[in-house]
Amino acid sequence: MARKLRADAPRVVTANRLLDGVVVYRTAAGTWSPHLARALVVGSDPAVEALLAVCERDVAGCEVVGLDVIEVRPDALAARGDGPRAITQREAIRATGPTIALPVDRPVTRPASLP
Amino acid sequence: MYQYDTHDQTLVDQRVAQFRDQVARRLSGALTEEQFKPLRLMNGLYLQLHAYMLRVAIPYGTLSAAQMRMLAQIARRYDRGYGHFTTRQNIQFNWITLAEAPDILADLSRVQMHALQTSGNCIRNVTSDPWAGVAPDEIEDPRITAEILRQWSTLHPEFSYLPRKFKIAITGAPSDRAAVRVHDIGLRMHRDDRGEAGYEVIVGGGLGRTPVIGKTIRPFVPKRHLLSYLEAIMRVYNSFGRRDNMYKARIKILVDAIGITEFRDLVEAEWTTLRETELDVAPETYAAIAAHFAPPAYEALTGTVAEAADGASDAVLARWIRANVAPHRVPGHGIVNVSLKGTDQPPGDATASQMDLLADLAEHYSHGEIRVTHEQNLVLPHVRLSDLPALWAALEAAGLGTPNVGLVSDIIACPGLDYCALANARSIPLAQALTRRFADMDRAQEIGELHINISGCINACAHHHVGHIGILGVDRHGEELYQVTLGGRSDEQAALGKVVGPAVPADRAVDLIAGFVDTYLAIRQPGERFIDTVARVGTTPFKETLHAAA
Amino acid sequence: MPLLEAGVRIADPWVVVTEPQAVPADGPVLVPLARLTTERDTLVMRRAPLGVLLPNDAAVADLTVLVDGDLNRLGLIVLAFPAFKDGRAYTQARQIRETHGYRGRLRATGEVLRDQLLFMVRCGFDQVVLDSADPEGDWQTAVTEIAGVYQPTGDGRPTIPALRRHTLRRKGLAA
Repeated sequence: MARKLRADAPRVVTANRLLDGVVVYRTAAGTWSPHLARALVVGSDPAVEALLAVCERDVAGCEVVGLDVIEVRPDALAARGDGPRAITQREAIRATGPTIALPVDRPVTRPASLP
Repeated sequence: MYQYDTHDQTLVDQRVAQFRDQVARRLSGALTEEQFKPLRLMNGLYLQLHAYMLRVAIPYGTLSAAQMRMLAQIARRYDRGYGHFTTRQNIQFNWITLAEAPDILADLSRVQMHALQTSGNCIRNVTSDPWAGVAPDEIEDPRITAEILRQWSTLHPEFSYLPRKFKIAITGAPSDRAAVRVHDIGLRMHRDDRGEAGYEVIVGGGLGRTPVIGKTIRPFVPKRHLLSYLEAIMRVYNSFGRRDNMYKARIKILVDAIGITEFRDLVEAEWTTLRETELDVAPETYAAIAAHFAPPAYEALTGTVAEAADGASDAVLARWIRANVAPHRVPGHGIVNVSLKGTDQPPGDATASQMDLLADLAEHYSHGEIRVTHEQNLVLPHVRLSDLPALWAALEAAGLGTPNVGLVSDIIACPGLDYCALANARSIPLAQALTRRFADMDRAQEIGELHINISGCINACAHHHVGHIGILGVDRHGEELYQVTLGGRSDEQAALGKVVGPAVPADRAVDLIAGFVDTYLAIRQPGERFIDTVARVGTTPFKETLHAAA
Repeated sequence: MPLLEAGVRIADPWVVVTEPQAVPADGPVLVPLARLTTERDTLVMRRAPLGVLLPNDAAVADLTVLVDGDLNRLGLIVLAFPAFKDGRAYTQARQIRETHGYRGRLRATGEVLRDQLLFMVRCGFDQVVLDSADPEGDWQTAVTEIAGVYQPTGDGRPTIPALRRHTLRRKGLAA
């Protein structure tokens, strides 16, 4: 969901990979990483616009879909190498996956009575 | 069960090839995402939070053992070893890649399955009574008509770009287990004065942003004329439904805006041009499809489900029979409902190994047939009462023996914000918290029938408006809150729940609901279910609980 | 953009006449419904083919009243897909063909995509304006890639239920 973002808020560009739908973030190297911590953080509207314009090429090139700009927690932790963190629950779940334990396909006992 | 003939099979195979080509064109850039999206949606493929999600149609909720095995195989080969049975009797796979989607559809076609029209602004998979063909109160098996509707709606040239999605539900019994009053079109079978079976046609029901109980547009349409009558309704909707605002595009908004009388007049005028044409369902056509749904060869047996429960050697088995096995139209048999609502099991999820086991059990104990319910459980519809102990033991060993069908912990929940791109709040963690709170199965039986439905957004995939207790997840400034309603129901007395109190955080919602249950237990009269008590006393005594808890 | 008729690329002989252009004396002209409404008598009396652009929020009846209930007085009806997701013209097309028995040319314009062509043909369109590098190839693929149809429309294809009835009757006769 596109939220109204502050003009100076730290932001990153995110998308889904076209081929498999995996959540990816734009890195400083101009690549797409599945790790939010590797994302390039931009802090001004013009910088965001410029970054989006570049990313649109990868949309046109069928690499990613669903380009979006999300706000991230201020980059104070970046010095420790932690990189940006999501702010909203939705973006946190996009970044790290479902919050529940996913079902595990364990073998089940097949009763001897079955042929 | 319905078996494809070469016509059905060819169409599905060609559709797979067509989609393979569409995917290739998308990957090559010949199709933009905007152009491709409706094409992939009409093949059941969504882009969700983490990956593509494939929604596979299970027409009117009926599955064969072979089909269930294929679903298990798909879960293993293309997904993460599990699938999610939905409130629309479908199954969803959550971790799909676009590149592999055509292969999955090809695998599905090998067992006469598809993902056609499980999304998009078209006529969606038709839903029906999960006990069709075996319920004691049934007039005729509604799946015969449901299959006719499936074929008629498949790649309908006029109705594939409707203003919005379109859902049809059908019941063949007076007890409505298909929620026909909350669908775009609901069909309720009954007999006219001459004893002929036909349908009451209900239109403009629905949940979502604007919940509405449907209105009867025509009290009786003979089976023969059903398709032409529905085509007339669809045509009026396609012409006049709003397209300027997606939130006002469903047929319920149109019916409400012009009134049922004018809507009916438009439909009747259109119907005069369509009835007595090739759209009429010829008796031989009906009979040919009905033959597919002929009952299996039951053994001549005696005994009732109640007797089976009373005679059970084990108290836990007896409890399971009372909760999960329903009376069957044939003596000596029962309808076994398999709960997918174990503690800590996301509602409706089953692993590949569980699916394989259910396929084996269906073959051994249920004439090879399985049903999916809109409560996100499974059904083995033709079980001999004498087989219940062995079947129960097998289910129990696989984590499928939870004796809570229709009870407080049989919670209906959408995937919510853990998976869904549309959600505002998570559903599954709240469902799991409630399941843990009500884990005592003896107490759950004491509480009796109670439906809790949790939707993670206003789209209401978990039908929260018609839950006895409904819960809607909302996002208030980044905080997940839950709005609770009371008194909804989707049966033949369909009603929308009333909001009680402000939206609260998840832990408070669990306490609130526990309080509502305590209030009910304190004030219920003998024989009253939760919903009966709410109907008798209204929400006020429950609101008092709310204040006490605050 | 390429104009196809029954899958074959053709030149468009129709001259679109919009306000405030005067209607030429000769040759096939195509006018918006509004123009036909205001200049009905002149247009109908012309001794040359007349075509009409029907907006997709207009009722087919709005058009039939202007031609004395006989759509076959028209040589071309053009229906619009302002967006490919807007499917109103499918219904208009079937009403024009099946309810009103129109036999002239029926053209789809606007956002016409290859993947909708089969539906258009089934609803009665015989002309489409298709933005494509290979319009004839696209048409050919689109209208043949799904062979069977369940629904009767005016396109004359035998439906799957009809084919099954035929088989049943043959079996019945043989038995």
